Amino acid sequence: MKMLNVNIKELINSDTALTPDTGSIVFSLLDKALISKEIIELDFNGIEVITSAFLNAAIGQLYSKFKSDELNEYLKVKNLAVEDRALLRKVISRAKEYFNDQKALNERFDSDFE
Amino acid sequence: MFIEIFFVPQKVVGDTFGYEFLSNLAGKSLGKFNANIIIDFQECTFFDGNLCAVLGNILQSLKDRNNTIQIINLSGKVRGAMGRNGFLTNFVSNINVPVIYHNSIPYRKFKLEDESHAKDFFKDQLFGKQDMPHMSPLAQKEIIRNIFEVCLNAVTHGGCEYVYCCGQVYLRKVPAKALITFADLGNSIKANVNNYLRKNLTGNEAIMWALADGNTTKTQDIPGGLGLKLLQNLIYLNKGKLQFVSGDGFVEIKDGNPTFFKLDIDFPGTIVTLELLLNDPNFYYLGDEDKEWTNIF
Repeated sequence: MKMLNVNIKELINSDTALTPDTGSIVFSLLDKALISKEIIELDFNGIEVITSAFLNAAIGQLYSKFKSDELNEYLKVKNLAVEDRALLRKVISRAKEYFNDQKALNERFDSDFE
Repeated sequence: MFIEIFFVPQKVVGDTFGYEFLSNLAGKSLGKFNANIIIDFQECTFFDGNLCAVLGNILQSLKDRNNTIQIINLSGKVRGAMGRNGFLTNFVSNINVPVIYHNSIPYRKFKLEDESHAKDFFKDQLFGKQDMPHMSPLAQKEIIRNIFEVCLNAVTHGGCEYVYCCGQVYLRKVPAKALITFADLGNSIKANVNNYLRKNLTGNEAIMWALADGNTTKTQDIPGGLGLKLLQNLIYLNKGKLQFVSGDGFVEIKDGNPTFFKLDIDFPGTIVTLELLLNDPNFYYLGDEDKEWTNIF
């Protein structure tokens, strides 16, 4: 199986991963690779500062299209500093809630108008 | 040319009175074009250095609308404080005050594109100064991260291009602390939250809604609502203080408890002030994050 290595620092050309815009660059790449069922190694080596806004766009947004088991199977996170892992866990947990709420809202909306 | 004079009160600090003065100045200056604006400091004997972020944001927006700015009657002490942090050189020509950043975090405006530069700036200014108390690398990282969460919030939700920042460092106080203020004249939290919820919350209600975990006014496919919660956690662990001013709301949070004040004059944007204790090296808790790190999704 093909393995895609994505070094975030090289991809965004910065050691500072801050904005939703740069997060969305990572998202687009992951999105394509996940659709074609490639295994992706997402490498945070060299990233000094990372925000929830970046992670929401890069990874949280994936839950709008993919399920947890798909992400666990195809997406591997590497070299994320221990202190940043807590933040990523919060982002993941928030994304799951967010898209569950949105799905429930859409279903309610659809049934109201059927 | 139309001339308008604004008188600065005797003392401008981060309280209701200080924020109302700044709200009044910001509100009245919004519709000014091609005028001569005079800021008269004759009565002023104290101006919190960190609030130069707000004053600078207001004056810069006036300049951007082709108004001319004159700052007059600065007393020695106020002139010294506003000179040392680099504020005055932006608005007064031929000013002869030494710019010394030892006790201040210089007046700056940042764009999101300045991220790497901004990171180095805050690192140097908060942790790189001589006589600065030691803070653990993890604590430093957490503080820098949260500063960016504040800036991002202003740009994303306020819809403005720049965030203005200025700070004051109190090394001789026990405990040593830093006050940093971020200001934007974008959409207020009150306006954003009320538009999103289609309600008519007060400024303080809207601020508290925005501070709750998971609440966000974003409507795209990108989740949000974490940044301000992280900031509150940091300030709680650091035993510092947090102030939010937006619209007619003014909320101060210490030890996890909010205190509410009401402004009689709306601030047309958002002000966030962080009070950080600087000699608290071990407050950041890593929990059990070094254990299991598979199947994280």
